Amino acid sequence: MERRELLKMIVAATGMAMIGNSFAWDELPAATSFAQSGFSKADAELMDELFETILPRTNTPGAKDAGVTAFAIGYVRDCYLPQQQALFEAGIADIAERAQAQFGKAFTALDDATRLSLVESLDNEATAFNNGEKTAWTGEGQVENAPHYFTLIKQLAIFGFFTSKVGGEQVLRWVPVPGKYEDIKYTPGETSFSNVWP
Amino acid sequence: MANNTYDAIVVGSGISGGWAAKELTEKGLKVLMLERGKPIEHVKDYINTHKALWDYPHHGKPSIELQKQEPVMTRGIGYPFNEVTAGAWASHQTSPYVEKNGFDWFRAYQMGGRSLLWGRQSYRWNRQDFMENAKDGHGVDWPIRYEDLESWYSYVEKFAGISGNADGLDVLPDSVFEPAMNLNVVERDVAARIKKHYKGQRHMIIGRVAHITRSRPEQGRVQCQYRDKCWTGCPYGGYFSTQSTTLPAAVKTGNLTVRPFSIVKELIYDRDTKRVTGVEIIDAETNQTYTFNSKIVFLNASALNSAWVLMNSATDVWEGGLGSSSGELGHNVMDHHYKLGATGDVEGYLDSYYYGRRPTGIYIPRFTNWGSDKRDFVRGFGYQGGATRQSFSRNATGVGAGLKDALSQPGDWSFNLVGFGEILPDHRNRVYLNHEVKDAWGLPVLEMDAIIRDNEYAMRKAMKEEAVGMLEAAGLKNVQSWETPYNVGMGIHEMGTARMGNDPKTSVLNKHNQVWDAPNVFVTDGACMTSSSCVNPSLTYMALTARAADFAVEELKRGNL
Repeated sequence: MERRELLKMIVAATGMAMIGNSFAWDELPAATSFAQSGFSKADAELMDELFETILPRTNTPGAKDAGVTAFAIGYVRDCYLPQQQALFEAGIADIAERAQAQFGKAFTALDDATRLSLVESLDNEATAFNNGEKTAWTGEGQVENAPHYFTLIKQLAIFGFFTSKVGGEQVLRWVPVPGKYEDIKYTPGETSFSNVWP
Repeated sequence: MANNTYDAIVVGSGISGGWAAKELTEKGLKVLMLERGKPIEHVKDYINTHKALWDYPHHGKPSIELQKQEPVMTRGIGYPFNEVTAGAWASHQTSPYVEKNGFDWFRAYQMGGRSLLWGRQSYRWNRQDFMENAKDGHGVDWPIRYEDLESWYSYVEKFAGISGNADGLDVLPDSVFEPAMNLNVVERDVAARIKKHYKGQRHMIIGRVAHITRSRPEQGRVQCQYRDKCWTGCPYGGYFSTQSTTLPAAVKTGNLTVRPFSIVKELIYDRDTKRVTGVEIIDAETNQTYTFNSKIVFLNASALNSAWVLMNSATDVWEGGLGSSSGELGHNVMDHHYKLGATGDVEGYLDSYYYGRRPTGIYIPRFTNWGSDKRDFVRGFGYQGGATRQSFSRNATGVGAGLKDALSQPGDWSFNLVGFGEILPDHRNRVYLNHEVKDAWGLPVLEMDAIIRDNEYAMRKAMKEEAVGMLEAAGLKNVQSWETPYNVGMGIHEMGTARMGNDPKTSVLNKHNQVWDAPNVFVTDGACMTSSSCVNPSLTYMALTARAADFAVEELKRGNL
């Protein structure tokens, strides 16, 4: 129906023209930005390197290219409960401390291989912790039954990356208007299609 | 306004309201369609329809703030509450309700109602569905049979466009079909194994959906583009909605007037003529009250709200409102109970993938208490589901390039089944007015007191067991059942609050959907349902509406209304 026709009908019924927002779906406010987030520049720089280590640039873009840090900061502030935010922050602080304690350097100052080995050890530790084993991270002071903080960080990196524009379009395959649904041949190495629901 | 008088008033603009408006205007009646919410213009107002996940502030996940604004809807987080649909479901802030027992109510207060937010699964009822109440004694007998509705099913299917296969099953009568969407290779094989294992007694078919798979220039609709973004509104008109399908037809007649922001407060009842003379509305924006008059009223405000309007009408004659003389108004609330099923891993097929986002899946029609099958519960259930390859959101060990590469590629195949079961009509399950709590317009709200009971619980046990049994029979590995808490209403198939029947003492509506106590009022949304079957109900509402509209116009001509 033409808007003009709709307006005409509405006028006929109410004697007045309709004004104002006529959307059902809301325009949502932007996510909390880095500037509004309370995270320090050092936190953001650490996150940048951390996310890039988890999902690095290879022959396709990585976490930095996809802006995962900015997304993660907004997501932590807007979508995490206070306890989850505290766990995330404690995790970032713990990673910074580990770099200093083990290598005498800031996490961001580590060479790539050292950083990768530190993050790999965190990944293994998280698996052990989540299986109920005793690990360097004791989880003290965190909410009961919460996973290792690294699990939270890794999940956030994966979700933020593969649902980003860069990840969704350049790493995965994005087809806005497929036009059909059918079986196709798949050869290992070919990427997944991006999805439209979170 | 020069004239507040129409031939017919249609209350509500959703699936059944849109059909009422189309049928009545095409038969020459001057119709006023009242919608309590905003006007939504086809295509233009679908502001999210070209967005990808990265265009949403949190890539589609609802923020804590959004959840705080809608604490009740947050129980439906993921489905159907998220950033993509934010705003499209009616807000608890302005339109609260009270839960004596946990009840999930997802409402769409805007032009088109839930026709813009429905699952689009479309199935005819079978012959037995209309006779179950009489057979096992739950509820009252339907005043109509399949044969009464058969031609009306065909009629609405042709116009709405239902894609599917003619499967030739008595348990799930064929519709007039658009070409079906495709099963994928895993689904075809699993379907064949199930058919073989159960000796042709169980069927896995492609889900029948209200999508056109061939363009219809005469309706201004383009065939489904497999975007799977139906809940943002479809700019192609690929699926049936009021906006895409019934409204343009009604507008074309020149007989339709639409008034948005019109909350119907009550039907105006004349005790001398025993007829309703019109409706009183509150303008949702200005709080002004208006009266509109008509010869007939079609109540299509959705099952619970149509009951609300009746309860709020003619209270000077009947304390419980129009239609309450039966003692059944607001009672017998039904839905489809679900939130359980099974999943399993599919081995192999790693050289196969699929292109496109199919807006349907598989369907397994009812097989319990059917034919020679007998159970420790009555009635039955069906399953929806399908086979997919895992996305990036799967467990993966490691970090770095290896992790990125692995998650960039589709994972193993898995199969999921979700059961949807029939809920029995039960007088104890009811909604009623709560005058203590008011909505933003000072109107009393609904209080819900409905739970599932022994029959549904026994059925739920079987729903999990049978899902596991079928997936195992199909050779899947690691098959596991799952279940999460279900509140009545979460199926978003609420119905039964003003049931049809043969006797005014035990039903609110007669066999033509007329309120026994005011025959010029027709209720043709989910409220009219006498039982719930286990199939998705909207197609039946469409058919009942077209049938009732035809009868109403004939009765008007005969001078009976």
